[in-house]
Amino acid sequence: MIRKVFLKLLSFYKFFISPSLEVILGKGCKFNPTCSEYTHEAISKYGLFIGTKMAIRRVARCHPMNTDLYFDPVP
Amino acid sequence: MNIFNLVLIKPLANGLILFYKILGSNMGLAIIGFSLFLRFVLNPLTRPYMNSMKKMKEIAPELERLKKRHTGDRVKLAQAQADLYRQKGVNPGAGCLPYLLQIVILIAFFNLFVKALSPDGDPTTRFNELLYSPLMFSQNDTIETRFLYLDVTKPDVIKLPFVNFPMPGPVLILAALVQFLSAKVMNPYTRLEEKIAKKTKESSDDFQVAMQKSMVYTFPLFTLFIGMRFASGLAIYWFIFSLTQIFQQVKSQGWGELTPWLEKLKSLKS
Repeated sequence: MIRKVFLKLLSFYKFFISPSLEVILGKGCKFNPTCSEYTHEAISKYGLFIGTKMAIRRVARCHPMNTDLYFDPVP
Repeated sequence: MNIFNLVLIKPLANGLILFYKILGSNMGLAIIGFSLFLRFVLNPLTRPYMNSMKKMKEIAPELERLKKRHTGDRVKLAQAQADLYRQKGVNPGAGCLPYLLQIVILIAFFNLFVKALSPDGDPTTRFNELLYSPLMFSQNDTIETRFLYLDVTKPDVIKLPFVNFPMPGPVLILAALVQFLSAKVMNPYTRLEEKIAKKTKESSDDFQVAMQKSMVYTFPLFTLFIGMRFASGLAIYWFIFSLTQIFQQVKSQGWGELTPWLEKLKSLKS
């Protein structure tokens, strides 16, 4: 139940908030799949707790000093 | 005292007042100076790597070939794309971490303006609550909030003689306009022939693209309407923010969707 609410929120972010942020700040994520897609998949696959943990690790990897990873799907 | 206040709003307030004191006690100039300074300092974190962008253009035809080869198989395509990037040493974006940082600073700045430069109440006492002791104002100091024709604590609105609702003032209109241009510049420009060739995307992608397209026009309107309620200092900040955004973007990736406009301008001149 909570998981579904989370996934809905993520979709909301992806479809409405992210495009508007892109208008102000430009493109953000460097990975494929993007961090929001990754989070969505991780939570639906592994559950809220582990999925969120994985997502946080993923976002922590998503910075300009990281140069060797682009393709980084949910394991 | 919450942590957001302590870690972000207070340092920002102190930085702003530092610039206020350096730049001849003028709040308008201080806002311009401090926002320029912030953008400059954060530049290495947020700038997509310039060389990468140039390389990106070079490998575009190869990428198209990959897309054709792996049509319908997203996973394979992503993998092939990643391999290509790694081979050529391309870094496609700055990443989410600096992005988050930028959003947080944006929100903190907004908060600071609402807190300290609101139309009601005295900005000097409000700032003193946020300042570290060396920068504090003494009791008979007042912050100079007039800038050009504006008072930075008051919304930039004009009342016209025969219109009985307030209209957005010049600075606010300028801020909205520059924000529109920055959104335009940020959209990559695809020529018409390429657009027809690219019509093989998923529907969810289409929705997002459409959303973003409409945001390019609705966001500046938001700026106008929201700006009419908030301190005009915020409009000045927004103007500088968008202007530096355009500058960075043009420097690293060219003029984006403004390219056809520029071409028209050039043909008009010659």
